Amino acid sequence: MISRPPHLADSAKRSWRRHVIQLLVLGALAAVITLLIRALKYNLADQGIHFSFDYLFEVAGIPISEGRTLRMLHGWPVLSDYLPADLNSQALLTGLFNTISVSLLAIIAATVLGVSAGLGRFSSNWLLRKMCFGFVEAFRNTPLLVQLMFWYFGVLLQLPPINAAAHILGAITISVQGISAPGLEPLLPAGIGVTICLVAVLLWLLTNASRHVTSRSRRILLWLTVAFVVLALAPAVPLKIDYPVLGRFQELGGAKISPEMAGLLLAISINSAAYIAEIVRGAIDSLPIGQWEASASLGLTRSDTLRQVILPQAVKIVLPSLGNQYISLTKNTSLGIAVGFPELFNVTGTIANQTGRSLEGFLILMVTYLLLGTMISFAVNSANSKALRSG
Amino acid sequence: MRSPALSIIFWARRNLFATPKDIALTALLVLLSFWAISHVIYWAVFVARWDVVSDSLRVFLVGTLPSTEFWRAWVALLLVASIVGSVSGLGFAIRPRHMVFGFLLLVFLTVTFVGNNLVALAALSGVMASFAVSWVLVSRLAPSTAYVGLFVTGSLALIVTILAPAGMDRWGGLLLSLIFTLVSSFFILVFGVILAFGRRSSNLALRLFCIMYIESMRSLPLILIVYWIWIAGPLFLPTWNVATVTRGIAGFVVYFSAVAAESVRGGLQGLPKGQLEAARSLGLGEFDINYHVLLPQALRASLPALMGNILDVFNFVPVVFVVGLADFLRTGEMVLASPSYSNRTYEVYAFMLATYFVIGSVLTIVARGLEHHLAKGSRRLSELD
Repeated sequence: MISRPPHLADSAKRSWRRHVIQLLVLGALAAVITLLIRALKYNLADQGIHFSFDYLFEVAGIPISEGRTLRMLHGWPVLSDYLPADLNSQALLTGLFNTISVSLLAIIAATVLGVSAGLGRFSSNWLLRKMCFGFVEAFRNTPLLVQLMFWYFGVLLQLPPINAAAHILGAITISVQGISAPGLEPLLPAGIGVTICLVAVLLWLLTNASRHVTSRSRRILLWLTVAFVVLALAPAVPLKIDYPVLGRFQELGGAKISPEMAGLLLAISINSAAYIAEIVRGAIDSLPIGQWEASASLGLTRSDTLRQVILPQAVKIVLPSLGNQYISLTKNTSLGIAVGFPELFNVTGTIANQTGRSLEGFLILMVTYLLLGTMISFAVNSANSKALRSG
Repeated sequence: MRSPALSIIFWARRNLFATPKDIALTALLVLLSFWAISHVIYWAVFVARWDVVSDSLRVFLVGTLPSTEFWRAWVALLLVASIVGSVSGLGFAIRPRHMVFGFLLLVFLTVTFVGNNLVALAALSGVMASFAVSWVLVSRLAPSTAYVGLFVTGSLALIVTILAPAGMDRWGGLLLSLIFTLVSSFFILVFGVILAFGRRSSNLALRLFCIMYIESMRSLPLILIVYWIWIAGPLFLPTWNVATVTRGIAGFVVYFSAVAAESVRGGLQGLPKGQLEAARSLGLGEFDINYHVLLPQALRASLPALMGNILDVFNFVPVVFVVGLADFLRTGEMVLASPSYSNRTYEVYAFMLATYFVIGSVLTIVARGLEHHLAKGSRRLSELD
């Protein structure tokens, strides 16, 4: 009989030991999790609480100051204003609506402001460079929550009352009640159109994600989506402009941004812009200095170099960190609870207080934030792979 | 050789007035910043009434801690100073300009805040002296990092034991913000390192658990985790009466460990593969490789990122309002809530923002200094081979 070479025996013993450790770790994890769940079950039963999601279909009865929810109208899901008589699930949807709308607006504002400030760091003008640096430092080195409180209590709540409001261009009204402007109101219920749009865009995203679709059919799909969106909006096309009217105590109608939403938007957009500026600066800094020198020797001006040589390369470096920044921006909207903005975390907390369902609420929140984060990174990743393909 | 005046003119021409567009931009920016700065200075000097800050300084600094317990706060601050000093001593040698800056800071704090309170002046000098002494001692004696770690651990434990008899839920103000940051940072560092190594472990179960933990924590808002641990703590451990501060710190540790783990992982990934292979070929065991070879280098490389994480911890402490703790921001709101100061919003926020900005900037500057320091070290290393 030939004995196994010593090093093989050793490795066999090692892999055997590895399996045992693996099992031990697995067992320990399972034991801890079971213990926690058992403790939870026991204590919940002790307090007479049963784990269930039935409360989602009970009437909420809580007031929510702004935001829209989904309701069924003639068999169609339609976006409309939230009412206290709605269900808890509809109240949660209102919170989600507010979280998503603030996040989207803030992502756009923060990207525009942040990229400008980041590029400003490379201006040929010394004063502009230093001011962009100061902007970044000031907003990155102070807490976001303090900034939010300052914008809300120090700026927005100090605005004049509605009867002394500032009017800009005769249409936009700025007062302590918020900012109102003429809005576009479709003549037909927009919910149906919006639903079709959402489905079309979702379909487009899904097909886009699959690798088997050729670029030709991709283009066809894009045009189909556009056609769908136009078709869906067509019945609503005779838009009428809805001017805000000064009522007895407040302005009615029009598009309105409450001071809570304005404060949250300002704080989050400006804070994230500072971080985005730093990301942009880091990406441009990380490019070899030879890129600038070569462009200069070719006779390109500084702004041409930036636009045609540096930026196309920087985009690929920036996109992943930008995605992370968008995710943390979305998570930061949960600070809206500090100024009473009814975003998802705030509404869930209120419902949990009313119903005692904090555990269920936490699970819903966890899944929702995970989904939101995944959606953002999916969108950024597909943009990223497109950027990588093109270069 | 150009005269200095001439070179300033050349500099200005190149950096401020190079093209007509630049001239217009410079003029616009100068006007704009002059308008803003003059307004701010006018407000700060002639309009603002700063008595709210000096009158409520105690509330800002320690919250509702009764005056009989102030000595505990001072001792804690002394220890905090020695922790910060000894950690700084690991990275930087003390220079005369640091001493001058420290002395000027002492004079500034005395003139603006302390006034003729001799006890406070003595205590403040003691705090700054303990900072300077621990810095000098560590940078001169250059003890092993493990000893400094032990000292920091001991000091943190001492801080908590000294402050605890005053009632843990009565800690407040800037003191709470500082201690909250320090204690959570300590645990965050420990768990962050464990999670980062767990994420690279060859043990599949451990690796999957660490990845799941890190990724799910990073996708949740901090405020949600803090709030939920505060709510759910009693559901899991009903017989333990855990203080709110402890639950708040637990929430921060649960969330930021995942963040710090990613920073440490960045440092680990940056290590040359030869380090691992060389250690293996020397016949070192897995634990020795990780603890003696990879960890020190990874920590060094990820130090700037970890400093950034500590700044994030400090900047997110105000979130503890959601569990009812009175940190620096909350005490500011408490001051504003009293009727006699209700119209001092700008003064109070200016004071708070300035304080936060100074502390945050110091942390940022230290992190940047460390980055330069490390970059220098690596360059020297590459010159050697």
